[in-house]
Amino acid sequence: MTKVKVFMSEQGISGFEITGHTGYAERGQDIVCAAISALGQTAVMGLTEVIGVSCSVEIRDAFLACHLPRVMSPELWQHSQIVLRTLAKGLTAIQAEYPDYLSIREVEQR
Amino acid sequence: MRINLQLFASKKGVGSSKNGRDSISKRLGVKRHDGQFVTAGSILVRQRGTRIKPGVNVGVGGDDTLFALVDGYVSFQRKGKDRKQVSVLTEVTA
Repeated sequence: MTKVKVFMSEQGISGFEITGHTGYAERGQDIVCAAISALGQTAVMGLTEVIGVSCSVEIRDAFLACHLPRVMSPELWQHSQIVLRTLAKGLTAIQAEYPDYLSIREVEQR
Repeated sequence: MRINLQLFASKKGVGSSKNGRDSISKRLGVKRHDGQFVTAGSILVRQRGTRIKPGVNVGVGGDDTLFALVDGYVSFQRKGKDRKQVSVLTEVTA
């Protein structure tokens, strides 16, 4: 099962972490993995390449973590929230369809 | 940034296709026991390597089989701390 942690600050989502193999099907056939991979990495691309935020990003096998910088302009923060909330919505929708393969947890971060 | 759609996919298992095979048994082991009378040429032990060493009147075959060189009685002895040897004695010793 793949586990997602969505890090929440007082202002909104400050980052996310996706870990673990999905286990829905064999490599190359795993549509749940493909959906999560696409959403997670698209979110990273949106933040870094579209909005231009210098996030801290770590990607390796079965692990994707992305954290927003501590100091950001309100405008960039707002744009980032659109991307991150869209990601959270997408992952929640996948979880609703495939609850045995994806879990999502919100983690309070101060 | 390149996208990897299999970031959270399980790795393929490896090596399973190499398992699941077996060979026929080679019927190894001690064929004649201590004190038993044997004729020359009788096979005493079939083995892989010389787990049991040849002693007096015992020959070693190409596949490490031990066989009697003379008629006599089989005698197994300890050789050193953890070795065994087999001999064929022409006279029974008490």
